[in-house]
Amino acid sequence: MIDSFLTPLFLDLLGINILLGVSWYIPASCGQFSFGHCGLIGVAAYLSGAMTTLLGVPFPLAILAGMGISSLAGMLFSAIGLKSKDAYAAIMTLALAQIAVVAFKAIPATGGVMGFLVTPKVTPGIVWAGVLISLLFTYRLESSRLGRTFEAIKTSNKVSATLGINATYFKIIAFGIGGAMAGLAGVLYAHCISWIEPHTFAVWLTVTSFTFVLLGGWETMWGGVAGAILLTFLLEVMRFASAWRPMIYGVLIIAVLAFRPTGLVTRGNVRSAGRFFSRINRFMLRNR
Amino acid sequence: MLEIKDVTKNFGGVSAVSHVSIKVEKGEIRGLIGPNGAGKSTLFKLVSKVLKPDGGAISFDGAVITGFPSYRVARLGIGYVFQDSLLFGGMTLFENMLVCANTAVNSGLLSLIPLYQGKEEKRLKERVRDVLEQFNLGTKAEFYPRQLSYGDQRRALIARTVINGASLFLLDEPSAGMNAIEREELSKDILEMRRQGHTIFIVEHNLRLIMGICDSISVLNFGKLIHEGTPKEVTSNAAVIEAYIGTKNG
Repeated sequence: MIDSFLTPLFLDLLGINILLGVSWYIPASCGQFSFGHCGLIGVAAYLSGAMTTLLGVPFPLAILAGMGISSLAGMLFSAIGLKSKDAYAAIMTLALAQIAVVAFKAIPATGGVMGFLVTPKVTPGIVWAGVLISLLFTYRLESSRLGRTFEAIKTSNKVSATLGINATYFKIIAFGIGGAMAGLAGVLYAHCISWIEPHTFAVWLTVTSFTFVLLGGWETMWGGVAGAILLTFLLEVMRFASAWRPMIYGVLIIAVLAFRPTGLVTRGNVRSAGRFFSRINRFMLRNR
Repeated sequence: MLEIKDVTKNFGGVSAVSHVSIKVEKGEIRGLIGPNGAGKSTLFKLVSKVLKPDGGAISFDGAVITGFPSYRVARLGIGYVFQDSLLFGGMTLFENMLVCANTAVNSGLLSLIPLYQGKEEKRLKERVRDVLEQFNLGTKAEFYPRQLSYGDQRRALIARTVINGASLFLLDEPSAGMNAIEREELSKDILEMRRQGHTIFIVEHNLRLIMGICDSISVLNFGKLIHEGTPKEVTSNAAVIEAYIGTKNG
């Protein structure tokens, strides 16, 4: 069984799932739910796939273009979604993503409903370099002024506004960053699986990335990372029951909401771990 | 400094604030009192733009701010400490203070670049330490809000508004839930803020506190301004006594 965990494809998908989890966490850290994530991933996958395969554009440029278009689409989703409140805004992002899926079906150059073959470009090294950069970026974000501002908005729009924070501006920024990361996941996915079709980017993909964060935890980026790792391994172990996957997700969501609504990793856990490691570090230094 | 002119706010058929005009001068401590439901908190929410007025105009330092969103009003220097305000629970007291002084420039994407605005960040942190010391919260900087007493939390909210650069403070029942010692400390904090040149507009139910620190007091009842004057004048005014105690006929 361990062999199946060490295949390049599994390692690629594990890395891409971590990116999905973290990309969903960033808008959530500013109090927004993105049900349009599947559209953001799809836009980047289609654009970058078409650029490398149909136009022969170098892969690094396609990565940048994919991240850029998803970031812009994310900001657009957010700006439109913010016209409504809470659940309505989330539903609006979902509707926008569905428009994107319909558009994929309507483009003949990328195979319409049937999809198209993308030239494979991805190795586990590329995927994990992307994961590492994204995690470092998000870690820096969490401890920056911008991260604190996101946290303030998530806690209370009203109070943060009376401190001079323009919540609309920062929510759009959060969606833009999350969109860029979702775009990176989309580009890597397209060039790893090398076959993309519209239904890959249906709402199921949003549910997947949402479940990573729900299971792992909302309070820090490590929640999304932990959720992605756990679920990717779980689904690999239970590959024989792949037809039951939606049910497994459903049961997991209910169980987490009922027994641990904060998710598995909380901010308190991360701080305790930080203190534990700093104690070990001090001990090592003393006994060197 | 602050001019509220003929401001009105209705909720459905209920008139919460009715044609109220109040002028708060720079450097004064102005009290706003009245029985429950008189419209005091609503008036503060109208000034800070948490609520939009149905009529009238509000000016601050000569500029009309009636149509401004809440965050712009805050950036102009009006700091509103809600009655049910809160510190951000996921951050330490020190981090809560650092959230302040936000603008699109100094907390946007560029703030992610290491060392960007390093000097400004350092200055802000020094200022946060100074203000926390001023409010006797220096030793509790690394505490989370849930580890602070209620009185400390309320005073931390005022400290946060000081760091945010406010020049006019709207304090909505800052002593609610405080014991006598905490109220005494709060009085000293407010007087110290005035000494530093800040202007205070305060809603308070504790009349002893408000009579002790205010230069002048406005009294609201049923959304209407019924009297203005010094603490001494207010306590002897018949309309105010009637609003608080009632008349012989109820």
